[in-house]
Amino acid sequence: MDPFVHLHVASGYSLKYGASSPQQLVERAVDAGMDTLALTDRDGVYGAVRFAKACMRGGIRPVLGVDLALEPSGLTGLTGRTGPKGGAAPARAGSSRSSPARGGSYRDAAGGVPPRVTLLAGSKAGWAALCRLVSATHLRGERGTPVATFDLIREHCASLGSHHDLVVLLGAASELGQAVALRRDDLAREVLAHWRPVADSADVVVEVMSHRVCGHGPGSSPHAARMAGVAAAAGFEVVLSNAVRYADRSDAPTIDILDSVRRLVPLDLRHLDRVNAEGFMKSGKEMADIADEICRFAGLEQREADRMLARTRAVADRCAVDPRADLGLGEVHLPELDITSGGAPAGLGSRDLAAMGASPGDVVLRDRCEAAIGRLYPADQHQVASSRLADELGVIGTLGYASYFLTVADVVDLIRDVGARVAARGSGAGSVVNYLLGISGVDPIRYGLVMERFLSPLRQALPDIDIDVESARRTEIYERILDRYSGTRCACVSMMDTYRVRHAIRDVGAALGMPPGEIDSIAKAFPHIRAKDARVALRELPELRASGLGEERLDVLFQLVERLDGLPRHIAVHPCGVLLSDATLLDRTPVEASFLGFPMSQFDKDDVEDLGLLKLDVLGIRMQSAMAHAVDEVRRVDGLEIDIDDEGQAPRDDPATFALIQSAKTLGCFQIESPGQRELVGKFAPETFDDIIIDISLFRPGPVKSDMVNPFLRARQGWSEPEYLHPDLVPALAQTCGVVVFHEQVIEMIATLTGCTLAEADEARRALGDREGKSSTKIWFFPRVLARGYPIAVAQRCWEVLEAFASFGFCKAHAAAFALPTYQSAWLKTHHPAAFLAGVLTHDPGMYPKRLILDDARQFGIAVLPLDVNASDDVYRVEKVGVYDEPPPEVLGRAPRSAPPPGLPDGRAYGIRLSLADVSGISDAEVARIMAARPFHSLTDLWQRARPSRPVAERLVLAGGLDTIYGIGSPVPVRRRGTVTRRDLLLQVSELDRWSRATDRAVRASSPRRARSVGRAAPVSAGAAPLDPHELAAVQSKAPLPVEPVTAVQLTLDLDDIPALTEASGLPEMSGAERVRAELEILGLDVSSHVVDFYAPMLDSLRITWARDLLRRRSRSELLVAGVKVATQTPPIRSGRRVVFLTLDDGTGPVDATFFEDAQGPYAATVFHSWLLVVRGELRRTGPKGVSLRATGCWELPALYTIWQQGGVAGVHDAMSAVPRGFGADSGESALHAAAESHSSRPVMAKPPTFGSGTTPVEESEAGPTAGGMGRRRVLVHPSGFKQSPYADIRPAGDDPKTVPRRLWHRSPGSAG
Amino acid sequence: MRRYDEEIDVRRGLVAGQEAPAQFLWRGRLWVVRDIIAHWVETGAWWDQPGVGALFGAADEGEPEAGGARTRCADLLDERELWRVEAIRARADTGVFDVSFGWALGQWRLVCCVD
Repeated sequence: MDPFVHLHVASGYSLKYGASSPQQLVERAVDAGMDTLALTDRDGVYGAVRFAKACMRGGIRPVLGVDLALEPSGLTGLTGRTGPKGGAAPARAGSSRSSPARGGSYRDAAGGVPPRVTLLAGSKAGWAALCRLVSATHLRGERGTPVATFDLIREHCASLGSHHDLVVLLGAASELGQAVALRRDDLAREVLAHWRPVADSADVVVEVMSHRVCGHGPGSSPHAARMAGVAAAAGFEVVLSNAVRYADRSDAPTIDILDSVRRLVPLDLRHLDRVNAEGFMKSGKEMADIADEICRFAGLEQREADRMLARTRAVADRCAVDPRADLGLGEVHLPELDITSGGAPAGLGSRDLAAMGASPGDVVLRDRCEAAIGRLYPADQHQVASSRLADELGVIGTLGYASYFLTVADVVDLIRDVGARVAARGSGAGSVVNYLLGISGVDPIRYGLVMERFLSPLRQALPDIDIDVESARRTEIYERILDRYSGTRCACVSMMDTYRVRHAIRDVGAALGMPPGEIDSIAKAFPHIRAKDARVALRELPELRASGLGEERLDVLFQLVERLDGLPRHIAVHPCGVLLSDATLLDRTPVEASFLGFPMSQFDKDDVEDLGLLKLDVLGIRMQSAMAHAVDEVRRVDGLEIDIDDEGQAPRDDPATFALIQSAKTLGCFQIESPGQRELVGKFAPETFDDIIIDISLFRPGPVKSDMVNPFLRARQGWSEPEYLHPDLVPALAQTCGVVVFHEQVIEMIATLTGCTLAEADEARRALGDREGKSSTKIWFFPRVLARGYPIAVAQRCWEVLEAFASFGFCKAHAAAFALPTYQSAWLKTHHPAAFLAGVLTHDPGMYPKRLILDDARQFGIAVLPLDVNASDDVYRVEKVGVYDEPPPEVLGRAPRSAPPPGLPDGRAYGIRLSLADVSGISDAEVARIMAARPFHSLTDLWQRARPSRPVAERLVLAGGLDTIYGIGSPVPVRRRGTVTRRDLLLQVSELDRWSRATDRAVRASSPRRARSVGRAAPVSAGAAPLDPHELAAVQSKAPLPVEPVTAVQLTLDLDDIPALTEASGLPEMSGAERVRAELEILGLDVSSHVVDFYAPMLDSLRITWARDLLRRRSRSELLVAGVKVATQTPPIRSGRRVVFLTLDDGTGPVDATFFEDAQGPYAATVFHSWLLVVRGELRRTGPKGVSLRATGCWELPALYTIWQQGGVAGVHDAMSAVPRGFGADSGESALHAAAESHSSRPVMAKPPTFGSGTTPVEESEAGPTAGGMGRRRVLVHPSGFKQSPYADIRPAGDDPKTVPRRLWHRSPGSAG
Repeated sequence: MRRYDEEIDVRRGLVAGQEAPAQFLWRGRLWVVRDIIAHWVETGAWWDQPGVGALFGAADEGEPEAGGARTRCADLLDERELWRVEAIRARADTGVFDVSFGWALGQWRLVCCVD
């Protein structure tokens, strides 16, 4: 055993500072035979829970602490900045800097590097004090640069009395170290005297360390020796540490990268902290050598070195904590009852409660539930509901979770009180208690949901209820919850953003000083995989292999990239987690301010679960906001008050709604808008709410992978008889025609066959998820089934089914919870299509770009109304329009609106007005001013009263926002003389701008400049009462200040000199193509006509098949389609290969194409990196309304267009039939550029290189040696035997299709310069 | 201070109770170490190595055989242990030298002569 203990260790959770994970550090300590290890991360305890768990696994004792920056006391006359290479920089005047942030040491902290101090928790009370100290440090001063003060530390130590539960380590980076670096022993003695009061209630220890650097500064042996000497003279104990930042010596270059990333500077000796690689986890032997060396320099005897090591050990022994007893792992802390429900029920004394064997919480819960039965269930169901309720309450009472349910119910009530939409999701929908409390809107009895999947007496973990709220009002709801529970009981959960490949490439590239353009293109060439898979992906993915990124010269880059894998880089609020606990919350987790000024725990969602804190997932769901917007629009435009939660108004069996779903025109609808789902609903044709539940469950990786979909559909369409494994299973499986789809069915099957309870069956189901559990369950399963008289063959077949589906089925309660918004959104689309799509466009909930949704609106006959400064709002608005358009649209050059196909909702009476918020670069304040100041009667009027910036004003003009004011209509180039055109208006904008500048200058010269006083006033702590963390965090908010409501609008001052539009300049009006181009660039939407329309002549000559005609084409025919890319997906499929789904939009609807591996090699790069595409493929008919294309080729549309203009149709055919050129020969610079610019039009690889088979153990033999250009393919094999491509479900390379339409135009023809 | 970067032959031994270069042969003359003034460890600027420079396509022309453009990260460390020693030659001539030992190549070098 190695008795040495490292007391000062930074892991990767010291953001951009430490290079090793807690797990790695623990492993290294275990390897070295150490029995204790400390973790003292910088500025927080982010890694504490993971570290403690790793220690438990490794069988060693954890010591927990933190390394905090400290405000200089001024004793040393320094504001900081002692260089790492020895010697102190000249003292700098302690004035705050006013210049903007720069790189280098300026990034560390204003005024240089502050001294640091390390604290270790000596006990449970010490840990609580440490947590509170960290919170206090973060909540004072500036967000992101936590600096403690001496007084804070003294107060927190003193709060513990004289138990000495905290240990303060004064190390080389402390003020003591700084004084010693100046070789001022007198100052060092003063610093120690300064700390002496703290020593009354905590142990103050001097920590020496030597990295054996040159000179006599911190990190050198002479420095350590002098510290030891001063400490001994003043009577302070001395311990030895190594200020560890990485586990192994070879990790040192990673530290250099992190240092330069943190400081935003390129690698250079003067920017780095590290001068050698000694700061790793040294063994006790090596540390003893260091101790000897220090003592030799200090002129002390060998005995002193041994004593130093012994004291180090003693401190470690005292501070070693028990993760369970001291950290509270596994405890449960729920909010107090009087907070959630206003105290115990009246009229019941505590004695009565005790007699009933129930806690006050149980009684309150029962009262609330029983009261709701009469309201929610008809009289004939009271019996059933009551007995189910009694069962559930029994389980809840046993587990003691009553106050959990009351808390969730209280939060849901809070949300309802502010009038926001709320819905529960997840397995919680299976509980009747949740239904009765109003948490969930799905009746579990009616839809056959079981409670055990959600809550079981056999499972100790807290059940999980997720709440969906409107995304647009999420922060408002957080505020409400925080107000109710206060910052002492409530905090947001944080989320560590870790390095993945793209970030890592960007950061390493920047540190190495590579050109930004090159870094960007290398980063974008990768899908969003883990950083450590970078080189594997280079070998595996054909489009990367062809790109030349695999060259040796880039090897160093990728080696460094892989080292950053998984290191935390940034902490942010988890998008949905809210912690609720009792008033001791801050004893168990430190909090800091989030960007928006919410208090945020330093622990992430897994950590808080381990700590037993109640985490409530409050998810902001854009669809809920979209639906709320739709309801508002219906009220505003039609004066109709609709409540989609009310079954009376929106019955769950509306035939029109199901007709819409069956038609697969479900763009914008929740859960059923993806290409795969549209294909599935087309085949499945759901008829009832239950069918939607099944549909959602079927479209999951598991069912798709295990091929449950086809047997179900065959039985469902009546093409084959449903097969049941045994008549006893019919009740459980009848709803899905004998196919196992739901977890609930697995539970019921196990319960039926073995005769166990549902709770036991759920445990068995969970055990099936891993190999070990599977074999033990098998041993348990067979004897019981056979004992109950089932034949062995039945048992065997049932087992096979269970084994295959258990880990992949879907929770029916979850699906039912999802089905509700799915149905509601489809209902809205059916009955109020314009309002619904306006909501979708405003809140953008789905996977498609807005321009596709706009196109969908056109399909339903809804008019798309252009931007208009006098009509457009900050959201998309619905307007009533004449059904047949007045004046007839042809006059204005717009397409006539045709009626939608029969059976579909007709939206021709409505139009959707585009929103100002989509104008690129417009600020919320500008939108607010425009809305407040209108109507405008001229551009000058707009300019003066709404005061837009010049670029915004120009964009408003270009996008047609002022067309109606000036009567600018059709884009006919030749017009009546003297008519104003958009070009005239543009000229006027520049004149106005010039005029404004001139007058502004005059005004500014004559009046004193107003001081810009932004920033919020810091609240002053009244007396000694500590402020609520909620308020303190809010002060640190970095969010933009809210836009002040514009009430009084400046009147137009008609000054004589303002340039007015006197006369048209005679410039021609913008052509149609120019208009579309401007719209795409400014709004990201093609409003006046579809982009693809401009290619129509070529597409027609190529005999392209349009989306609306696809259904009429014969199956298996080869055809060409074209359009704008709207989505690419790489979903998991059964064979374990990568499949790329591409969705194109050609103006008549979406087209879906599938690229299997054989087509990916030559064409994947084009698919991922280009926007306008022509795809060749073979049509496959998938159902009555479903078709899909099996792609065999893909080309960039603009490139083909160029060829067509020169060589006609024959040229294009030649280009498409040509075998794409090989790429291997001309590697080097050109290859990289090609990869970098893989927007290039040509497919980049022709013949997939051949790889010998059998190179990897998991390579599939039937795939043959080439596998269509996929090199050595890895396959992830799940415990249940299903295979999955490692690239499945990962965002693919290139930019996100949702964001890019603004750039669509760049390669397009027809732009008359 | 004069800077050098010359390979030397070193015999290790105990100097003042610690292991260090005891004698070294520099430019054909034997120096005997009398005292250790300082002892430290440092690493070089690994990002200036040719293998890393190749990232920019700068140095990979012409010298692929010089260790190859492929640089392993272990090499990136390039740690050197340095001793500042007081040495004496022929019982009269004394000098203070920085002597380095590169761990990657196992090579002793004389880095500078302090006085």
